[in-house]
Amino acid sequence: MKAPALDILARDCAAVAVLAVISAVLGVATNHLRGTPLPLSYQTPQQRLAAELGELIRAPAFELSNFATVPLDEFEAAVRDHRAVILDARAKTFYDAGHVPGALNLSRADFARDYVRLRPQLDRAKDAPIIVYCSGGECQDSRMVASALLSLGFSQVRIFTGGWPAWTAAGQPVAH
Amino acid sequence: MLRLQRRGGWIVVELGLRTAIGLEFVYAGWSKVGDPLGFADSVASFAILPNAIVSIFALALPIFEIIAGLLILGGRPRRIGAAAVFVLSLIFVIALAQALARGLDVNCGCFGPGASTTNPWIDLVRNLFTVAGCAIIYVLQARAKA
Repeated sequence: MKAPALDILARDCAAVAVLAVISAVLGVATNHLRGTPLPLSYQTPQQRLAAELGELIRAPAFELSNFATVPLDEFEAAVRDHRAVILDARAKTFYDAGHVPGALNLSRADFARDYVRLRPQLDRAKDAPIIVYCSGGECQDSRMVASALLSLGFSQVRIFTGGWPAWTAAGQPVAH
Repeated sequence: MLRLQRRGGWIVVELGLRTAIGLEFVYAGWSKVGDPLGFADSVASFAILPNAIVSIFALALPIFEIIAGLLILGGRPRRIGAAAVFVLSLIFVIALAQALARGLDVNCGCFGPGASTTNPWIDLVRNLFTVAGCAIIYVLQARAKA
């Protein structure tokens, strides 16, 4: 088989290169006409999720209501009978020092990182009861974490407002 | 010996190849235009390109595919379209082969990121056929000119 002349081949290779450049220019130009342009600096799905969650956790906390809170006796029963996913919204240092048995550490401080880490467990709990606690009193961490979870599509999120002080004051077991 | 000249049955073969490959690439490009982010994720799953150029590649490739598909269908000269699709399919073959060798869980995204996941081995064979088809078209067109 006789090969095509080299000069034709060289010209055609150059034409393909020009075509690639034209495609890149057209692609970038039309991207700006989109409602949501693709960022030219690509982020992996995990990086995007972390950024989105970072935004969510800075959103204002939702208003507490009677429906959204859990009293101590109900919280104790939920922990004892494994009737809910228990989330500790405090920072890891406090969680490591002691937490409610079975609680997962979804901290407000490192929400995105913790959410990505716990995602397999959390995805199974989209419609399951979830109870979030923090340091009790006026702590906002549980409210913010619960707010983010509601925004992420979790449907049964409540708060144990007594938090860690109420749990230990009641003489309940502590996990480390 | 089988002689590759643009006459007789080869004209029919070339027409069939040009139609099939041209339509395939126009469709493939069009199916990606609407979801650049999804396609960028598909590109990134091959773990070849640095993140800095994944977006530009994902924006350029569908347009390149559409133009190349149109050129191979009816452009002048059609060699350019055949050469463009040849290069692109060769890149796909290399990307798929290295992903299979590394055991990566890739989403080809060949016909849009939303299309159902296909077997990478089938994608590899399809692209090898496309490479061969484009080589035949290119040689036939180049010899017709000579």
